[in-house]
Amino acid sequence: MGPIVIETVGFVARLVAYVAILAVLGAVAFRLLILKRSGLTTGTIVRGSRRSAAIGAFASMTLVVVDVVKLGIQTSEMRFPTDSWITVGMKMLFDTSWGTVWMVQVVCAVLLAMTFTLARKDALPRWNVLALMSMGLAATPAFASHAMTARRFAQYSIAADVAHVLGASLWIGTLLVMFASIIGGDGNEPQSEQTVSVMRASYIVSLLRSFSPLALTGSALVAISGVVSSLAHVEHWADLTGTPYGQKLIAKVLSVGVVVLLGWRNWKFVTPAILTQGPKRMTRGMAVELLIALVVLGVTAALVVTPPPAEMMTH
Amino acid sequence: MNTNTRRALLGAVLAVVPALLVMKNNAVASPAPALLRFHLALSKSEPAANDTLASPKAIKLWFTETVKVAETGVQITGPDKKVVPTAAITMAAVAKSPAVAEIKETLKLGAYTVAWKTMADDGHPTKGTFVFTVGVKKAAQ
Repeated sequence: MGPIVIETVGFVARLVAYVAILAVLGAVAFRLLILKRSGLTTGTIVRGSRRSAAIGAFASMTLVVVDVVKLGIQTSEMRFPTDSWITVGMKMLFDTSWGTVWMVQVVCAVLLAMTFTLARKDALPRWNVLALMSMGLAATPAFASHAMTARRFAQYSIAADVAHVLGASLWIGTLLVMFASIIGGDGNEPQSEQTVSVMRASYIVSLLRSFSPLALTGSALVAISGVVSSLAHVEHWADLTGTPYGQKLIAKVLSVGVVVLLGWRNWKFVTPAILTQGPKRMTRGMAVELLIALVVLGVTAALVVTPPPAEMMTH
Repeated sequence: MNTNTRRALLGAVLAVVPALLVMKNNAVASPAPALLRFHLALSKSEPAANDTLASPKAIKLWFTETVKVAETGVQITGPDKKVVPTAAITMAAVAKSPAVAEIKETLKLGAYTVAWKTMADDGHPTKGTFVFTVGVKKAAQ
């Protein structure tokens, strides 16, 4: 495989992995922190819960598939043309710290997929188990990231990375699952005389009551942990504009800013008018927020393979 | 196109354009990108790059950070494009020890390419090549 193909496949694999991790944690957060506190009918909660479990199971299995691709890429990078793929692959898995993190992530993902499948029956103890397992999953990216080689604030780097993933999941991951639940019609009571539009609008209002403070907490966590990580890797202001890492970091911050602005706009202007003007404006607003969040994840997928300026050497 | 759609598109453009500019910058390349390396790089080798010497008994590689034996590989290709057999890489349990690959045969005259690969703690592979020549060094004039 040529280097450009490897780079492109690697980028797509990282992007899909981030979406999957956010979806897994978002599914758990939606069930335990939104649906549980929504005051909705049992039927609606069960429908929303089943959809969350389905999304979580699908995202977990997607993560396993993507991790296999990443193993292939890592083996390809570390192998010489005459080396056996199997020998080098096994060495990567069992003799390197990268391999250890990989195995932990895959085992977490497989167990999560199985537990999500069982949770479709909406047993609450299973969701509590899922919450614990998904926290473990959230920690795995940090142990194969720049945080492991940070030279400044090293003791805070890994914790900041984990907090970053948790914050993004609480905010964007939950938004993704909530959006799927709304569009999927989980708020539609089968025996109701109300129109689909009215039921959807009421459903959104009930969900947003719990989602808005969660999104605020998640975005604050993203911002604070992002600043700590940036301080660990960028020593001078000039590095922000003068290095590829700094430029990508600026792009990420600007993109996150747009998502924050859109979220604020949806909360401030669209939410109060949902019941009178209908749910279309809100669902469209959510879709745009998620699209730009995908851009953020894309920039992140490029950022993580760019040498941070604090660790670069010039020869 | 209604106001909300226009605003959404504006938001998307504001988000996408910086990302595209950054990526375009990287495609065009920042100043002397070939000089920029990850924190983990080869700091010294024996034989050194472009050295001319008698057949060496081993290749020794020193890196800017501690590397692990399991995460390091070396391959030597001769002037006939065949891979030179080497023993498994070893490393002394002393800080700043080189990664050593003993060569199992006496090398014939000619240019040899050493390809090396290793991995940093963050999982990023780093690799490189250098050339040395087995022959008689020309005396300085």
